[in-house]
Amino acid sequence: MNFLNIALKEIKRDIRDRWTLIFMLVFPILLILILGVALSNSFSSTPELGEIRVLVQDKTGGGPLTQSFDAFAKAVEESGVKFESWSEGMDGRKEVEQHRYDDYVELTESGISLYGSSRSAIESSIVQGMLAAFTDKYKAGSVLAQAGKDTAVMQAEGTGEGKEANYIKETSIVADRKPGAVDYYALAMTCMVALWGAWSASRLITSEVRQGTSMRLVAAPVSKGSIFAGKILGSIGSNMLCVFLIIIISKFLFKAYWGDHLLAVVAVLFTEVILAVSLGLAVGYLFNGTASRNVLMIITQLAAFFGGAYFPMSVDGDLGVVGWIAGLSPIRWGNVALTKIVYSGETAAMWPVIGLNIGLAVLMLMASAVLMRRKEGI
Amino acid sequence: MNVLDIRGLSKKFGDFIAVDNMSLTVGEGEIFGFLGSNGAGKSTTINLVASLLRPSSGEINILDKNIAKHSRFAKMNLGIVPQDLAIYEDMTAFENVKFFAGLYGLRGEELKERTEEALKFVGLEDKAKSFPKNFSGGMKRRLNIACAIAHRPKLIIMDEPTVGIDPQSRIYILASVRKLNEMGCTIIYTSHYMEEVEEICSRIAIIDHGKIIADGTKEQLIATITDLKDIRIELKRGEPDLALSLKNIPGVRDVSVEDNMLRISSDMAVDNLSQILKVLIDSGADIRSVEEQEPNLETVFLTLTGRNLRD
Amino acid sequence: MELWNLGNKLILLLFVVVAAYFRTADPSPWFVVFFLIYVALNLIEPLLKPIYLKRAAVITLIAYLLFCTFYVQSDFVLLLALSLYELASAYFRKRIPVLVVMAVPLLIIDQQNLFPLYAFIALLVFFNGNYAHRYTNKILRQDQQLDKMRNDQEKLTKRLHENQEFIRASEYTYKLEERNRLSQVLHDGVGHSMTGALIQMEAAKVMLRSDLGAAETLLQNAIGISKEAIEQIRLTLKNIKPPVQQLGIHRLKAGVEAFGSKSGLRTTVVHDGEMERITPLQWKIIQDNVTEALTNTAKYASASAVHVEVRVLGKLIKAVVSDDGRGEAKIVKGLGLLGMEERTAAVNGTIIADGTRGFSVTTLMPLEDA
Repeated sequence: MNFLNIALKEIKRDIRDRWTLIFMLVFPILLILILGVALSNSFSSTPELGEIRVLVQDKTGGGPLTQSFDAFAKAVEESGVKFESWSEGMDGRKEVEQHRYDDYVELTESGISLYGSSRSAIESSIVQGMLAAFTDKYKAGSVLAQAGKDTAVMQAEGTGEGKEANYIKETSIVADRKPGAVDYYALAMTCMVALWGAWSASRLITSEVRQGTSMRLVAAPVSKGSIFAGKILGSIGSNMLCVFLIIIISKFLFKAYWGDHLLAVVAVLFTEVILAVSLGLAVGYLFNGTASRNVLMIITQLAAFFGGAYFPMSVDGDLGVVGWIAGLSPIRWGNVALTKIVYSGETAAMWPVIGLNIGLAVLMLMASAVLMRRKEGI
Repeated sequence: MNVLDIRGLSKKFGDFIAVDNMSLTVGEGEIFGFLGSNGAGKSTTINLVASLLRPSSGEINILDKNIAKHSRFAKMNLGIVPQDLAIYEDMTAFENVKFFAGLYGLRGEELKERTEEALKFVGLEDKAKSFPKNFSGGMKRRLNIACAIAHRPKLIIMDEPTVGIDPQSRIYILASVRKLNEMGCTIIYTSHYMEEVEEICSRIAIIDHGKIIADGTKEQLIATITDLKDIRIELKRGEPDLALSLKNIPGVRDVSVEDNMLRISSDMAVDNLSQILKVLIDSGADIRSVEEQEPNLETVFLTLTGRNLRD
Repeated sequence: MELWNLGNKLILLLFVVVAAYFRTADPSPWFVVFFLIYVALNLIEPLLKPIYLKRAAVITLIAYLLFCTFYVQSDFVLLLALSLYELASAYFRKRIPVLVVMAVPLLIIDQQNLFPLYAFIALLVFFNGNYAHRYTNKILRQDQQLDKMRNDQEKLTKRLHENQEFIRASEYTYKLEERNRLSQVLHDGVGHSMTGALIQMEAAKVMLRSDLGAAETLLQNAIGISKEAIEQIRLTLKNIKPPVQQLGIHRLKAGVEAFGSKSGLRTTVVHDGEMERITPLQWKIIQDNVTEALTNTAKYASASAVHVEVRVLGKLIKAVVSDDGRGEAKIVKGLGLLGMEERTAAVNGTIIADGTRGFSVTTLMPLEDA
């Protein structure tokens, strides 16, 4: 029970802290606004998606599927997706891996399978969306085909011809719902604020020591574990509150797009906050006083910088060394996962990030726990 | 029953010995004073009793129970007023006391009542909703005390509770220490203000370099260094022949005359001032002033350690 | 030892991670998660205190690795070597069974290229572990030995102290015996002679009227006896008279002055109060402590003057040695101070060492009759 007491007190004090308000709410919201407006130009044009090259291997031996697919391929070619037929001796998956093609499609009797590359995530999701639309139509077509052959062909052709807009409209979720500047910064800033939880967390213990209240806490019949748990819980709570507020303000005030899977978004951010709090705590234990603040300053600012919180970084595509460094930033993981969840509805993208965040958080919490047990007092 | 019983307690920080093989008992109902200069080991001892530090050796019992083994029991019965203020500046006085009392398992109505009671005790009931950042030094100190007593501990340790405050608050705090004691609390009071300790403590330990070098009542402590008091009498004119008759008064050890100043060294245990004055008046001496100087704790400390308390 | 283990584990882990990561074409992020869980599980073990929980943690780890081997990636099997060694070496003291246990995973490895890799890792772990174990045992034994020797040394020093104490006590007894002997000599020799002379003189007084000659003889006898007795007293006194400076404050002063001339420090000795209330034992302690403190001053303080003060207070004796040297902000108790403390504690006294203004050592002892 006592840890709840401590958690509530922690949240109460955080809310009353002017600096929390400024750093965790006002600052990021202003950044969203300023960067969102100032850089809106660089977002308004369509992204530089080159031609999407898809390798197609037809294993059906030319059935109705092949015909429909050809029609479909021809229809979408104009919107920049080029299907190339498979030739002998090619390993489709390897071609994609080696980045000669963006995607690899296999037509079989049982259905269509798509292999995408994580390096060209947007391209893959575009193709995936198009194919999804196609198969939906084709299913309708094949149901009819069983009733009578002529109509079936007609149907298939009918869907293929002159209705290319159809495909595009239904599949180009990504193309349509490209993040605008405000949308992008709303996401990135929220990720950044989530990581900034490390700041307040690093002061969880030292602030008690500085105020002398650690003495009272230790002198009270409360186990160190309860103090520890309460403080972490409180810190997670108040930081989560900030994250919620930014989501709400950006969503309703700035009309930033947060997609249809808010629960998944919140889940990712939640684990990010947990990670941040554990990071702050561990750093606070490892270094003392100003040193811990400096270390965290460097970590969070680098993470924010490379995570794309200040200048936009595309979620897909190869960024080289920067990309590799960016990959180390929790803001980047969060950002990428959130972009996928929000813009292409890939809720599954949250699981690895959640796993990674929780895993790292557990590691750091354990390290802090070990350090705490060794210390006298808290 | 001993409220506090310390046996062979030592605490080392690396090579430095902060508390050196200290043994001490504090009985129920005492106001026990720790007197010592800064860095003498008072606060370290207190931190050890409050289990903020782990002893290097020795044991501590509170109410006859070992604090390492019965940590919860010991903590429930202990209230601590730390030397440095231990309050949250961004929570109201009421919230502060309530939070700390809540840690002792108090809940609901009872928690509220105890909180109000503690605030009233230190005279902050009308400041309950104010934030400590707007408090004066003395009010903060009082709140500091309130946070330690809401759970009604048997033993209260006050570490320099009157550092840097106005005289009014000091008087208030000293009065509340007495009141707490009358309500049945045993109190350990540390200070380097000799006057405070002399005034309120029933027993005093002088601590230096982590050791108790003397303990007892004020009188006992003074008796360890001397059993003489100094009486100075200023006369209108010198009367050198008075010395002999004064020496016959019981208790008087030595008389010296210096111009018109009489210095009488006398047994502390014998109350003979009126007799001395009678002899003087009878002999027609004209007394201008009389000053009786008993050694105080400051003198005891100075004599025993060779240093002043405030060094 | 723990660091060694940790380092080994870390290196192996990195190796497996790298190997596994590059062997597969498309490493899934899950793989990282599983690795993190493995690291986390590994961290649990040192956190636990009771030995059975530690064992349980190792077993859990093995189970987890097996699970990962079968369901996630076969590379996890490589990590088994460590945990198996940990578990097996806890149960078997011989080496062969440990090796056998560690060989078990070879049966379940289904990938050909993992087979030799596992075997190498297992051997490496086994070899490392074995030797680390052997050397830690050796260190442990040596530590114990060292402790024992320290104990022995302490005991011996203590006994030495006791013996010295005994010698001093004996000296004191000898003195008493000597006094006893002196009084005996006085009583036997001088006493008897004087009695003899007295009797002769009494007799002479009686005979004075009747027989002048006999009286004269008797008186002459008495004179002779008295002369002899006086001579004897002179002799005895000459033998027993001790040098004055050997006692009490004189002895202390002499000692301090001798130290002063030897070391070149200015010395002062002051005393106050009724010196006669200090018992011989207390004098001895004062003398020893002062000597010790002076030696310390000469060695460390870089002082120019040292002041010794002995005062008898109301219920205490206070002896202070203070110098004007550089002092010491934080005092580390050396053998000297500890020795003084021990000595002084024997008469319920304490030592205060202070280094804030020069260095001073104060000995406080309660008066015995107070």
